[in-house]
Amino acid sequence: MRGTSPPRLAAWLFERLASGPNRESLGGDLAEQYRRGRSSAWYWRQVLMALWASTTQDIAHHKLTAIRAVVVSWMFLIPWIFFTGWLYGSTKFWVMETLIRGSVRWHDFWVIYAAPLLITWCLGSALIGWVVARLEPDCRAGMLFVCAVSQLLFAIQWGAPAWRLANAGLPFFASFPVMVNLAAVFFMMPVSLWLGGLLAARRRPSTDTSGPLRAT
Amino acid sequence: MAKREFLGGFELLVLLALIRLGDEAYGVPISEAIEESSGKEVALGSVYITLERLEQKGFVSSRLGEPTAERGGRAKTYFRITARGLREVRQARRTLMNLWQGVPQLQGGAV
Repeated sequence: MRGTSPPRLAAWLFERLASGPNRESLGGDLAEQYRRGRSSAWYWRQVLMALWASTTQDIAHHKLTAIRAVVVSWMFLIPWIFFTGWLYGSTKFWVMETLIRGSVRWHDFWVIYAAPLLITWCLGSALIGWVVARLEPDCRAGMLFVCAVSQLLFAIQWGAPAWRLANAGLPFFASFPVMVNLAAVFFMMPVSLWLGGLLAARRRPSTDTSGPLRAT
Repeated sequence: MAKREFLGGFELLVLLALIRLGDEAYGVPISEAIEESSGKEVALGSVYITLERLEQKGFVSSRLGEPTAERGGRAKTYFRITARGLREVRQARRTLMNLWQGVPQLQGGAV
C-alpha cells in the first residue's frame, strides 16, 4: 500500500534544489496532491519539471552570479587537473615498481584505466559543487547546472582524442579503458559536481509559517 | 502605436483560472482548472513561475495562508487577479476576437 509521505528522494531533491519565492507553497501543493492520491510517478515528474523550471529561472535572473560560479569552478578545476595530472604522471613508475609489483589487476586499475586520476578529478568536481552550492544558496540548481555544462568543455578537450582512439579499430580490450575514461569525464564528473552541491545544500528553513506577508 | 507587452498563452490561461476561482485560488486548483479545460497535465512549477511573473507585472497579487499538516506544515499562497490584470485579460480577449473574425479555417467546429 502507498504511504502518505511522498517519495523520499524526490522530496529531498526538491528541498535542496528548488528556488523562487513560492518554493515552500509549491512543495506544499505537491505534498497535498500526493496525499489526495496522485502517483509517485506523478510526484517525480512534477519535481523534475519544477527543478528544471527553477534551474532556468536561476540562470535567467542571476546571469552575473552564473558567470561568477563558472569562474570560481574553473579557478579550482584547472589547477586541480594540472596538479593531479602532474602528480599521477610523476609517481606512476614509482607506484608500478614499489606498490603494484607485477599485479595485473592493480596495473590495469592504476595505469590502463588511470583510475586514481579519474577518482581525484571526480572528487575535485564534487568539491567544486560543494563550494558553488555554499556560495550561491538561493540559486543552487541553476549555478550547479552552468558549472556542470561548463565542465563539458574540459570533457570535450579530454574526450575528443580519446573518442578518436576508441574508434580507431582497436580491439575491445584496448578500447574499453578509453570508453571508461570518456564515461568518467562526461558523466561521472558532472554527477560528482551535483552530488557535492547536494551534500552542501542544507534544507532551507520554511518561510511560510508567519501568516500573510504580502499585501493583497 | 503604444508599445505594450502581450500576455503569453499560458499566462492568459492562468489569469482566466484565477478569475474563475476567485479568492480561493492557489497552485492546486489553478493547475486543476487548466488541466480540466485543456486535457493536458500541467506542471505546478510552471504555474508558480507564471504567477511570479504576473505578480511582477502587477496583474496578480498574493497573500500567504496558514500552514496545514496535510501540506507537510507548509502554507498556501493565495493569488487573485488585480484590476490591471483584469484589464489586460479584456484587452487580450478583444485582440483574439478581432483576429478570430473572418478566418474561414476557424469557423464552426471542423478542423
